[in-house]
Amino acid sequence: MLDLVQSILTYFDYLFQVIRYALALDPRLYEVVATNPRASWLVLGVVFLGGASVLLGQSVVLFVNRVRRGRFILSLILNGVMYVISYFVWGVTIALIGRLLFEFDPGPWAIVRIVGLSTAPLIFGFFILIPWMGPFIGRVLNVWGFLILVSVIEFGFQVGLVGALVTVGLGWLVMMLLNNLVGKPILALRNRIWQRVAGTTLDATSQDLLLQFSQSEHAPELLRGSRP
Amino acid sequence: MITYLFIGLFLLLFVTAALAPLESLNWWAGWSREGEKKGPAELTEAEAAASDEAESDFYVIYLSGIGAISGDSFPEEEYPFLHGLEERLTTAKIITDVYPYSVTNNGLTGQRQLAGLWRQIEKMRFKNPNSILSLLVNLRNALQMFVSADRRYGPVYNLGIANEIYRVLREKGYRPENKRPIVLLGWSGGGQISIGAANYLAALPSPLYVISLGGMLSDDPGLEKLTHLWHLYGVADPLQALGSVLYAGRWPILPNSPWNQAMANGRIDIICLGAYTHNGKGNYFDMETKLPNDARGRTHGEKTLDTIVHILTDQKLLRPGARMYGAGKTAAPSPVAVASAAVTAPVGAHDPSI
Repeated sequence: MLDLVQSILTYFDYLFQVIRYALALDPRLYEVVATNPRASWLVLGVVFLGGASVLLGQSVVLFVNRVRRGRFILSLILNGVMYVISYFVWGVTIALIGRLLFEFDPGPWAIVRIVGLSTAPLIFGFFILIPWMGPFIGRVLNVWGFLILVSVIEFGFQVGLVGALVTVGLGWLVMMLLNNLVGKPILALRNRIWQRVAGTTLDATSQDLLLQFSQSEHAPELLRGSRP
Repeated sequence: MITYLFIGLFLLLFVTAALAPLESLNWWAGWSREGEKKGPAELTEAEAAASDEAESDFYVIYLSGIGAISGDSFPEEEYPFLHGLEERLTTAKIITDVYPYSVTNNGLTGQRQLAGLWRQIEKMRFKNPNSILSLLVNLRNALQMFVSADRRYGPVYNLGIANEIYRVLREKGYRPENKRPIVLLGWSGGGQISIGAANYLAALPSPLYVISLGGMLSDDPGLEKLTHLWHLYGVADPLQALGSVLYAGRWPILPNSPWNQAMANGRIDIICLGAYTHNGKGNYFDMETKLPNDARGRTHGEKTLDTIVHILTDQKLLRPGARMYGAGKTAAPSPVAVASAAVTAPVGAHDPSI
């Protein structure tokens, strides 16, 4: 029992060390991940904390679409699964580009782990909820994550700053291309899953609420009767 | 140690800010029991029709600033102003019991988990209006004002406020079919919430006017729908000026934003009252500090009231010659001068009659 508590504490100690290194763009990050036998678990911890926080930060859409309380957690979990899949694809893309351009040694799994580490700033993703400055915070966190990724690839694979920028930049372009080419069918599939899990396709935004209201011929009645 | 304390306070502030939209989101999603209403009971159509209240010439809904604790607990300085407003606008129904910082009109001392804390602060503020703890009220309400201005939350938040305004209007005898004008008078944060609620209230058949008293206004889409907005400000009030800095839609580089479009269409008038401050001596409600070089020897608060009367007269909501400061006194301008100014002069910063 004591051993279990001890190993949990050690795990969290390493986890916070990894997060600190990642946030500070410290080159020792790659070393810790390369040498620590628990590296995969540490990365998983970073991704989990970042994912949970950012999903809460972006949960406005669930409220606006009036997802029922019981389905809220389920929707967050599903969102989390989608988030992990997108980071996995992002990691594999970068690994392939690195192998093609710079003959990266490590396999795709190592790169996926590194991409996972770049999600460390997203532990502050909850703050995206902050009114007025939330969207700006979201952008700062994304840029921060991008810089972590560039620095880890630069030091980890010794490709220099330009090489790392080219790899990550091309990876981003490929992801955008994939989004546009196969985005629609994936979106349709996602919507179908959402419909089952959340009870709605979650495509309503707060702006639609204004639109719906302004186009209604019965606006005064809607005002009177609370919610349209 | 001090660094950790500082970081802790900073984090606490951020977490509080992140939680600020949840009250309105919970209400919208139907999760909150407050959605069932905890304020005065909802009027049914039949009750409203049978209301004894006679229709007024027009309705003024006062939305207080971020210092308000509930629909009937404002900072002390606002009461003489509201009294002056009632004295001058005798043909209007003045409504003050909408609490603009809660989508369900649930004041801070209402049925809330932290109601006890807010009640203590209210008592403390009653004894000492400048109590540091009363800043918590300002912080809490300022965050709600930002929720109203945020494009993600604003449409939900402002619908809640518009609902409450409409409900209270009905309670006070308003009948949409008579198309009596509605004036939203928003002070400070209430100014932003007024233009937000205008998004929905503009659907009523009445003309909808907004008067902002030192409001920190965003480029809210509601500006596209209201009939006219007058923004009254003081040159010594940096808080109202923050609106034009914080919201990109108010910058000149975005000519198609709701704010810039409304400005271009002449639906916004910006009126400078003089060296008014936002808080403290010389603010918009100050009934003691005399204005320098004012021919009528008015105080800051009296000039604010006169300007509102002037605007409403100009819109023909009040009859020319309606009571302004000094009417009947020796320093008062002649009724003819007031009447002619009201009919011919545009309301603006250079209007000497204000």
